[in-house]
Amino acid sequence: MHRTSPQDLPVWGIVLIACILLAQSLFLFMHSRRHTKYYWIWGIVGLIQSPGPLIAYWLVHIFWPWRKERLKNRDLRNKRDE
Amino acid sequence: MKRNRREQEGLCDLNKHVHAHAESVHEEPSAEDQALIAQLLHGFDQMEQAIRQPEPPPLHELEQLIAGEKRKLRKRAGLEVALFLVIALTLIGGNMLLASINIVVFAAIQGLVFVAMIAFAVRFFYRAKKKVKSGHA
Repeated sequence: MHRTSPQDLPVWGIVLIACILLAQSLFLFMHSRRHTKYYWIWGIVGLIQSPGPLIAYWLVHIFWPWRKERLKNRDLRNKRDE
Repeated sequence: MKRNRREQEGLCDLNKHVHAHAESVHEEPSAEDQALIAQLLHGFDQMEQAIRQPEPPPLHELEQLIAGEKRKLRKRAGLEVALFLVIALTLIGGNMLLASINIVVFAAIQGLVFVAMIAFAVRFFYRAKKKVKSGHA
């Protein structure tokens, strides 16, 4: 059975993973700094794994507010049309 | 007839009395009243002197205050990002080290964090939908 180990991973792969993690966590930290009060938690969780925290953050703080706003606007439009 | 006449005379007297009372009400105020009014006016004047008109702060002072606060906030944000970068480099280094030492633990942590994040998102959605349904959104 072939077993992968970090030694098999080239240096550029490690650097790439580190860059991805850093970019993700920086985005989470900066974005959540403006939108939530738990920005340190988001930033640190973003450093551990990718892309789980990014998906969760997108769902909770980007997609859900956008959906809520859209539904509210639709309701307002329907009320105005009635 | 006599009774009617007496009633009419009584009404006239009552009217005269009412007119006299009304005239006395519309008369010039007495000296006592005037003294009271003068005292009241003096009190109002003193109150006006005691309460000074508040002067609005000059605009340039307010602008300076806002600029100072903005500078402070920017400095704080820069410091936080720098601190975060230090923590980030440490954590990423630790992660890579863990991956090189024990890949199983590393993979387990990765999987655990992924599952936890998805569970958090699902729980958030479930709670938010419940709130919307109950009308507390």
